[in-house]
Amino acid sequence: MSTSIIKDTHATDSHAHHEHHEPSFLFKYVFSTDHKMISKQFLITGIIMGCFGMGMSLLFRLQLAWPDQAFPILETLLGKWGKDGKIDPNFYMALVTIHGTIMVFYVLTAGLSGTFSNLLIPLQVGARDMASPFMNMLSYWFFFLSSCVLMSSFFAETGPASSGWTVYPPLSALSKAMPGSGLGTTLWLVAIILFIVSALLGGINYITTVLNMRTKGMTMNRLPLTIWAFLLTAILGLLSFPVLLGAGLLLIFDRSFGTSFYLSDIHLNGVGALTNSGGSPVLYQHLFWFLGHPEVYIILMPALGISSEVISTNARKPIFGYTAMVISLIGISFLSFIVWGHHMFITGMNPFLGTMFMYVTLIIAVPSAVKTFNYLATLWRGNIRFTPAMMFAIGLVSFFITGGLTGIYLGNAALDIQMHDSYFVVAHFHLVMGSAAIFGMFAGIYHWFPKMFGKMMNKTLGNLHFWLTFISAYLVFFPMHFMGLAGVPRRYYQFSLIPEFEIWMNVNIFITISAFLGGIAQLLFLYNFFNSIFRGEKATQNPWLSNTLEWSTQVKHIHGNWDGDIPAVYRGPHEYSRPDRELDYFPQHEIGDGEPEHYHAPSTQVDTVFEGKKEKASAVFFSSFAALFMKKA
Amino acid sequence: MRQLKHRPTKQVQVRMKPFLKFTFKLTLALVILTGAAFFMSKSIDIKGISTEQLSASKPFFGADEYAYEAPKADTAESAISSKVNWAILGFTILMVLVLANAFDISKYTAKITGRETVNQNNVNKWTMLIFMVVGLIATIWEYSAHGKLILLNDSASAHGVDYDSMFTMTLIVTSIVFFATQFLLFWFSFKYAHKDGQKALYLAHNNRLEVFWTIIPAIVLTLLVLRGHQTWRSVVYAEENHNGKIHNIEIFAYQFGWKARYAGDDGIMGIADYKFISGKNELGLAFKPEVDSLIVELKAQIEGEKIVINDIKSGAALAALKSSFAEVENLRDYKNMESIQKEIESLNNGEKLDEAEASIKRKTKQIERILAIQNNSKQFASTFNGAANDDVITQEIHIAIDTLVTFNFRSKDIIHSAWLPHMRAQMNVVPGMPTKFTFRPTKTSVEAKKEFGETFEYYLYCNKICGVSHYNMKIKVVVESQAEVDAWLATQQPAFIKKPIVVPAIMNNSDTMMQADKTKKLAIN
Amino acid sequence: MPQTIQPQMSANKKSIFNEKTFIIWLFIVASSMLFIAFSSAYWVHKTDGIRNNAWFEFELPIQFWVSAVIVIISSIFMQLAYKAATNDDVYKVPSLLTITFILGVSFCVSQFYAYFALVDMGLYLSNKEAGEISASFVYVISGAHLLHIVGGLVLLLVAIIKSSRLEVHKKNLVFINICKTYWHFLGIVWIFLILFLYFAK
Repeated sequence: MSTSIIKDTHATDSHAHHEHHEPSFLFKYVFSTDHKMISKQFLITGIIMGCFGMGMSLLFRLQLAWPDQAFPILETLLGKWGKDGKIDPNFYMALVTIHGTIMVFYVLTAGLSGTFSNLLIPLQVGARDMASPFMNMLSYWFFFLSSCVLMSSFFAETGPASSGWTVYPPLSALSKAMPGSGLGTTLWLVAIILFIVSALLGGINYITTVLNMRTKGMTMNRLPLTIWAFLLTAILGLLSFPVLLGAGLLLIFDRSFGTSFYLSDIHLNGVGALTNSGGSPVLYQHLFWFLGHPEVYIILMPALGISSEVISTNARKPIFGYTAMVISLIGISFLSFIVWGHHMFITGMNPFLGTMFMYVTLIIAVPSAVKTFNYLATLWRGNIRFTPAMMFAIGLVSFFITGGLTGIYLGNAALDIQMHDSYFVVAHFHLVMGSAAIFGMFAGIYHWFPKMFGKMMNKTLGNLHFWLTFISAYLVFFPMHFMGLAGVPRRYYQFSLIPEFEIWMNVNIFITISAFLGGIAQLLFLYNFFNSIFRGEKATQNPWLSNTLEWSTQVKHIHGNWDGDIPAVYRGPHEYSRPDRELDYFPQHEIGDGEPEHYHAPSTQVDTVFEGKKEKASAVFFSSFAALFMKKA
Repeated sequence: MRQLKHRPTKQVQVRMKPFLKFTFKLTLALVILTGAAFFMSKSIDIKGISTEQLSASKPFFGADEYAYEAPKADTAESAISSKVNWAILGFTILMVLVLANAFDISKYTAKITGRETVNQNNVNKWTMLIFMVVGLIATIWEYSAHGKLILLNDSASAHGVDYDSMFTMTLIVTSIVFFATQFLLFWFSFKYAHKDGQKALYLAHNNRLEVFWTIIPAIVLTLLVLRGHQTWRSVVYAEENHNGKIHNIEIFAYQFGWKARYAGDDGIMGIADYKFISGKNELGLAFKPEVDSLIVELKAQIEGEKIVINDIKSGAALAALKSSFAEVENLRDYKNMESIQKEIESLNNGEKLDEAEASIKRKTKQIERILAIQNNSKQFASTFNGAANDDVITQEIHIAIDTLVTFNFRSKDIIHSAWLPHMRAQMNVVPGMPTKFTFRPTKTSVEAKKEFGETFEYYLYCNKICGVSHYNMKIKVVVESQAEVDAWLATQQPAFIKKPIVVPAIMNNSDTMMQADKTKKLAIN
Repeated sequence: MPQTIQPQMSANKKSIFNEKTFIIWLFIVASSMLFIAFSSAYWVHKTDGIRNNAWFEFELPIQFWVSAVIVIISSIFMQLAYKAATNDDVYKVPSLLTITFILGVSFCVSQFYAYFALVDMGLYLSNKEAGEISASFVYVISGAHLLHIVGGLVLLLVAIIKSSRLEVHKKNLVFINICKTYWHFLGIVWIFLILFLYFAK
């Protein structure tokens, strides 16, 4: 690969400059502005949060499977929330809520898109770093702070937020309605606002970097699909997160300052009639889902981008229909802004609106279908290498199909009347957005681990991890479809009080056991991940024989990514198995026969001070008022 | 070919160092595992975990729905000691570490023998195929086993039939796509797995194919969406499209339960308002005497709060708490000490005072608002028109078969969602925003019992997270003939104007008599 | 101070699509979404309120209009400062920016007087009657804008310091460009908001 780097005669000494001073530990690992380090920080924080989220899901699965069984370990673990070894119903709600919040925002938004956008955007478009490395650092630290605030709500006396991850008011607005709506929800809101700030800082950076800092020859139609996905994800975030911020602010005002944007006509037990009047709880749902639906794609699209890249690389085939893939991503992004109402078919909104939302929702299925078929076509007559990353990408496609198809039911207003908030919904979104996105994340980790840490992950453990996770995810979520169709509502603390649900007791136990199997599989992953960081096999520069630009950088991380000049790009990212070449890959930066060489203009440096003058700032400042009345000096 | 770097085949030559290392690790792992297993077998005495232990003793309609009582675990019998739980946890982690090492045998064998012994690509390829076959069989089994339990083709409402046929249609379409695409996915994975000397087909795109699989889903989805449109409109506009009589019932949701309200003898549903809600007037009906006594009550409460404020300001409250604290301190009653300490704290940081002041403000406002209605003659006349006086509030919903019924939803506190799975009916109940759902039941409870078993009842569940007892917020729905509904309604007491129970003429029929008796019993329960 | 790290970026790109300027444009998009969210929430409440006969209409205090005038004038001065910088008239820039800054501060003061006027009218953030949500919205929306203004003032302050060090001139327009873009955006948002609140009351 060494031939690929263009030798630039204008070798700049500026590169040499920043290699000289190795930053101190604090600035290298903690307050780093280097995108690669920030991406590792995002990943590891995401994994830790993922462990919390997964642990919570196991806890409430335990409750659902054996509602009448005491597990004294819970009392040891949870203290007063696990009195007599049984999970407190309020705490159950809190677990459900925080599990959702963590998984949706902290793992699959920050952990997935934060990690890989940070790692791959500069590397794959050919940039030294993000547009604003400082903002990038801030983005991580806001995220970190936000995680801490969220987790700290477990130490609140009244428990964490527990009105579902959507925190619908009035339940979330009234601390007397449920204990979790006290301090817990305040902390939740603070955490989410910090998170929004983090997401906006990150998103602005990603967009700017992709649009402005591509290397020579990296036209938009040569961008890897990962970058397209990250770009569109960031745009979605940029447009939708401020709306959630607005919704959250209004909720904070309602909770703490006596306004009634969302509250009206409420008579609360033990309090009496509230003075709030004229608000509309449904307004919050509109604002929330205006973020909430794009959020689904904010989660899913990076995973789809990663899987496109991984599948193409490991099938040794160009991704089928690159343009169609990009157009469907754009289509999905656009449509995702006008479908939020399908979460609200039965809130009593205007039925006509329901019809409109149903139409646009089902239109989204078309680009999704195109993506699926294109994946299949990419596999067709490929030369598939089953690296763990590839397996996870195939798993993603499988989940995407299964979960996507159930979306056709739920997007249909008439069917949603019955299925709304049932276990069918749980199954649907856990497959299409939970499992699929997590699998995208795993695929990304296995694929880019050599790039991130310079080591290889263990392949056997990777395979084992994949099969265990894949099978257990299906075992957990597939039966839930049937529970939902049989009329089992979600977010129930236990089903043993309703005789009709008794027949599902065995299934619940089965699901819980499968969930624990899945949990154990994740321990394998954790072992593999952390063990490989320290003791993994050393990686080669391009272990997967991939085309994209990130593999042209050296294994050891350096600030500025490329030792010499940034390589220029000559072709699209998916030129695998070209018939005119002996090798089955053709890196983007390698010059083909008869192709003209791109030339890098040397960067000019501008003196920042006007004409190099040295004048006292205060003197300039005060004299400038006099200068106002004078002609130009 | 530089695709997969297989180590060049060499003579098998056993290297000692990795072999010893591996043997050592394996032995260590086995020793630890055996030790752990031994320890576990000594200390665990797990009884079969009972799932049958349903809290049957808990009544479905608790006498006091406000108070939540945590289901008590039978700690003495089935509890597993905490130590053992920790042991299980530790054991699991150990298992994983051991697995992690043991499953890495291939790495060691590779090191020992100097070549890759297992071609993982082939292993995965075959596993893909096995997964596909087993998975598809399992899916079909699931369709047949659990598919029997789902609510399909047994709808108890008129529009449910429409829903069911639509569901079936979607199910067929999606199942075909599901099986086809999953089959292709795994089959391609198996078929086109890497083989030495194989080169992938360079195929970047094919416009005709892409147009084809854009248009086909588009057409199928259009069909589905048009069908959905029809069904949706027929459901949501059921009331508008119907000219005949519609039975109106108000469904009132609160934390954590439901109440139904019938219009009573005059056939008019009276006005109700959250401001009128009081202990005796749970639904806040516009019944003048009750509202008046509510005002009196509120005023008394305000006076009470004023006294509390005075006490706090003069320090009497603090003194009283301190003396009682001293009392329990002498008794070493730590629980009470803690709670009194908390009260003193809330006194000191002004929480108590704020609370009392807020309460006064709230109540004053409520009185003000009620008086505003009473003093406005127009509003007064339309509100307190006496229609509410004979409204009947019930603990069960009885609806007549084959008549269009509209549930008008009203929430007392927060958002709930009323879900009647068997009727394919659901609607959110939003405070401050009236919602409704119209449907026509087509199957009586008795018929349903024949189908689903003797203990079966229709229930209306809460399906929107609403707090601690969300999972137990339900109300029984009984579908029966119009005559039976009338008979049952006659046994119910109106909210305010009491009347003697009149047994209607229809009760002569002994069959219905028994039915009525049964219902009455249930109502009392 | 020549910039040494990341030779690929900045400095030599003169268009407004310089990375730093682009960032501020994206920020503008994001905060526009916030105001769009608020104003659509306002609109929804208004239609709801009018349907339920519970919508309180009131005249916006005159101070809000004064603020609008101030913000327009400050935008003019901002533009003058930018013009001076593009003409390399560097010795005028600090004073013009300072005038903009002072106008910005007076905008804040004027907003506070507007809040006092609202309080005098008996309209508080926390509403007692159904229709008074309109007043709550006025507080929240203008408050969100005020926070943005505070951010803008910080930017201006940095710009004043930079320009006093003669770091703002024709060849180094990036920062003042950011300031100008953001400040004009704030002006436009306030004009939009006040017209919106006036016509949609």
